[in-house]
Amino acid sequence: MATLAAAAVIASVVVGAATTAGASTNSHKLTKVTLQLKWVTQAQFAGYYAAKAKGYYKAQGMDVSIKPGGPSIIPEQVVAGGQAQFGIDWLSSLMTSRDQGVDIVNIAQVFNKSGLTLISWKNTGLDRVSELKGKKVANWLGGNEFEVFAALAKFGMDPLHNKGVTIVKQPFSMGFFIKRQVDAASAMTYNELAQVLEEKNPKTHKLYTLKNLNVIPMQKVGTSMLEDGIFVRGDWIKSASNQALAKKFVAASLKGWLWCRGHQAACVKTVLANGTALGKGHQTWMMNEINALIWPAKLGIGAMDPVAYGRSAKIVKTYGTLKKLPGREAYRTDIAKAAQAILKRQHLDIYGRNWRKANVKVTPGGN
Amino acid sequence: MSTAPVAVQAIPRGTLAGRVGRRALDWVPALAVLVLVFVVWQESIAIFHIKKFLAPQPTAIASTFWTNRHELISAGWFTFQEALGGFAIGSGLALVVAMVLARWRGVGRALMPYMIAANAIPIIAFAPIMNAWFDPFSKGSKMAIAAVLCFFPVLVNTLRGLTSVRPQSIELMRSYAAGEVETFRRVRIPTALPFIFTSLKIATVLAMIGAIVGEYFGGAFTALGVLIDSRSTTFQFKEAWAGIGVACAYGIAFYLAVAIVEWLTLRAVPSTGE
Repeated sequence: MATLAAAAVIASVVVGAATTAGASTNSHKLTKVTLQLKWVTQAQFAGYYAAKAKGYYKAQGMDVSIKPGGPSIIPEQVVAGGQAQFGIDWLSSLMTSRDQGVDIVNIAQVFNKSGLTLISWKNTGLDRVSELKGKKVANWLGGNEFEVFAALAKFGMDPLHNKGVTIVKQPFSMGFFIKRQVDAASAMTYNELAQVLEEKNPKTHKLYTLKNLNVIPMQKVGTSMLEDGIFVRGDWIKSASNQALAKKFVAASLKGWLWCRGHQAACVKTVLANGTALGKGHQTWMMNEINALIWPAKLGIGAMDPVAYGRSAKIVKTYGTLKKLPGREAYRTDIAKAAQAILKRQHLDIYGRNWRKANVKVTPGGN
Repeated sequence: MSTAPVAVQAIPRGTLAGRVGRRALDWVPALAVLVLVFVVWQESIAIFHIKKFLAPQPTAIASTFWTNRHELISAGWFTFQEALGGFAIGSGLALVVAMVLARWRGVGRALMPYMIAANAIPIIAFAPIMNAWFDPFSKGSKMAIAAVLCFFPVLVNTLRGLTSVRPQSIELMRSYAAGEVETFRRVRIPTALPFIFTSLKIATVLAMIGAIVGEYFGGAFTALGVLIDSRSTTFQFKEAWAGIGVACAYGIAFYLAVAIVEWLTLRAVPSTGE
């Protein structure tokens, strides 16, 4: 803890020295900003909660209020409407919003791998996308379907027109999958997959295990897209003072993620303190899986991988009824680069090459 | 139909053409308001530079509808079937229960406060639960929501109708030595008809709401609620508005269909005291 305290002191000194036009020099006057999350409070957003709890935002002269999302909260709409300066959402949502004339820009790509999978029960034998022909496949839709649609299309199905496969909109809890009301369902490695594993098999009275399931990650199918990233309004980020603010915000946020990489249990505790729907067991599993989507970060956390961007753009164009292929204008790299530089000056590791996934066991009901 | 055995005063009627003509004139102010709303909507978006994704212009919505009309109309038909099924189940059950409660007043008095209370709760809140109880991807789960939504208003209104008969009428029936069935057939049901139809018209609207909102929580890819929900979360607001328009059209058609049945029935059963 002593080293941590020292790091915090160093951080605040560095920040104090770097204070620029945007923020007041008076340390009591913090710039108020709001961050709109994609979904409810859970370990998926641990880095931001950690940055707040550890005082990283404060050290950068900011008072950040974190707004949880939900089924009908669309971060792009909140940010475009000016109710939040920063938003977290999948890159595909950013692209579809931009195509509809919403001026928002990605400034940091936090997750560099996709957490989306298709799952089916082992005894169905549906362990490959090609076998889902003529089957009932579930997804949440509303912008979350592109990776799955691309995967199905890769094997000759036409999900957009419900041909060769039957698409249904899945609810947010996994009861329908447990009750086998579909052949395959969408599941994030960090959330819905755990929800299934947290249920008891009524026959054996034991929790389901990965042995009971076929898990098809979109990463393996080759139709994975970039998911959680930080975005802002395009006209907002044009001003130099907002750019300075954004750099500091991203630096503090990424620092939160760095901390969660090394302190999974403590980070889970922070998330739980902010009020989660599902319990400690579930959040611990999620924290581990989320870290696996960030680390190792080949280009450093927050950097946009142009190849993955291009693949994501192509998939959204094909399955998202976009008018035109999203180009380089949908993201800027200067903010993340500057944020990385701030972290490097603090001698922090932005790559996490040595990070290894922990072996987390699920708990009944995620408690 | 004027040979109905119960003597009543004749309903004053003009010629059909006269009625229709007068009716058409009645519609003029309403139509003018509609046109005015659309014009103000269309123009204010241009004048105040309202972002197109927040509120698309009516003309843009109309052209989006036209481009996607096949998909939209078939999605609407899918959802309408759920609404219709739920309406039939919920209202049908409510009519039967209301008659039972009207016949055995003691039971009715015991249950009525709860029925009225149930009528006042936002039953749509149960939509996600219904999706958990039934297969969320089947029409059945949406019919269940629609049925529960329709049940209570129809029950409460029908019961009120069946029991708001003038005591003299009942006494008259008794003096004729008429049985319960006959009293229901000749007095209670005809008296209740206006109440029943009013509640059925409310139920058409509730059934559509139930089906669409139920679909927001999960459902078939080809359902209207799923379409509206997923289009609006991907900023395709023109498509979402076009879907809402289709929902309105089906809802109004459903309402009008019941209104026409009401008009025909009440005309055929003059004892309802029009």
